[in-house]
Amino acid sequence: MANPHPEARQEIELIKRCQKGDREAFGSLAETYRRPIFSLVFHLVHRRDEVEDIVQEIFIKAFVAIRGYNFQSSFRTWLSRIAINHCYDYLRRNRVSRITYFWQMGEESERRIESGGEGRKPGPHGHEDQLALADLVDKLLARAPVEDRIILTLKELEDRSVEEIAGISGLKPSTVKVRLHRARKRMLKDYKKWRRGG
Amino acid sequence: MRCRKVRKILEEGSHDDPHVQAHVKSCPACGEAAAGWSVLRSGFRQLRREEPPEVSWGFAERLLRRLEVAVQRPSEELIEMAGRRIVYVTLLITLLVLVSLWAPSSGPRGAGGTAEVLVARPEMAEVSQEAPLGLGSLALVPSRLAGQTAAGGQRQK
Repeated sequence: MANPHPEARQEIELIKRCQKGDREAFGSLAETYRRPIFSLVFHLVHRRDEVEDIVQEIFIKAFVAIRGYNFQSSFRTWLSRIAINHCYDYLRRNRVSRITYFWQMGEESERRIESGGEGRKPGPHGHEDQLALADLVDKLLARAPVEDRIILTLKELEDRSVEEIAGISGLKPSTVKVRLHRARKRMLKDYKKWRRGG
Repeated sequence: MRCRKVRKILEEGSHDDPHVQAHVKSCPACGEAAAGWSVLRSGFRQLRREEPPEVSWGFAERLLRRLEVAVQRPSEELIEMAGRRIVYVTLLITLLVLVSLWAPSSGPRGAGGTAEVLVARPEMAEVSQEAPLGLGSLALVPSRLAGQTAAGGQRQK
């Protein structure tokens, strides 16, 4: 970090001001990272009406904890870590109310998957088919253990690299790979179970 | 190509490999896995395209207001916690003082009072010296008990 870009220098300056308790500086930081955090939280909890509240709570937690930020990882990674931990607690708390049973997953999705040739060649109602698939995957994600949901969201929906996920979760990249493999396998198994009628 | 390797490739999303495609056509289990992955990938792709909700007006202002409250709260909690501890300690000290006042003045520290009673009645000391079965040590017991023993001793006489 000998000669960082002006934006990076400005960010470091803002973080240092936040560490001294400057709320206005934190407002600027929140403005910069609002979008990625909104996206991450939305993909994780998938409840439009609750995203904003959760994001605010995450930023508050970040402000309270910012004195402990030591510039070892990027600010985005550090903030994402707080967001993930917060969403983890949220998902654990609300898990019972979120579980989707096989009978709730609907015949509509099944019919669309049948007609769409397992999604390879979208038919005339391609967009609707795709929406049905998205709904199906969303429900499968809701059924998955919270750890699986988080790691799959980071990889498949947020398109983060294994190294980035390792940085956020504090795990080794090899461990992330193993957990990702297990999560995917469990999800495929759950999908097959649904196809066979639960 | 072995099923295990094919499944790994399928999981990572590479369906286009001709070897993989050939294997998938000939192996029903891998064919089923390929179809499943295809569905899941399409679903993920679609979910990724979904836009998060727009930030509502006044988000930053609300955040700053909540920050103000959040920053004040820890100091208030600290004061409250310290105050609560002071109350607990005061209550404990008061309780200890009350217990010490209420408790009888017996034991080694209170022994002086008994000695005074015995000194005030020297005739009892004489009687106890004459008492049989080594009851001479009764000179040290409280006056009432010593008196009873002395009476018994006189009866024997």
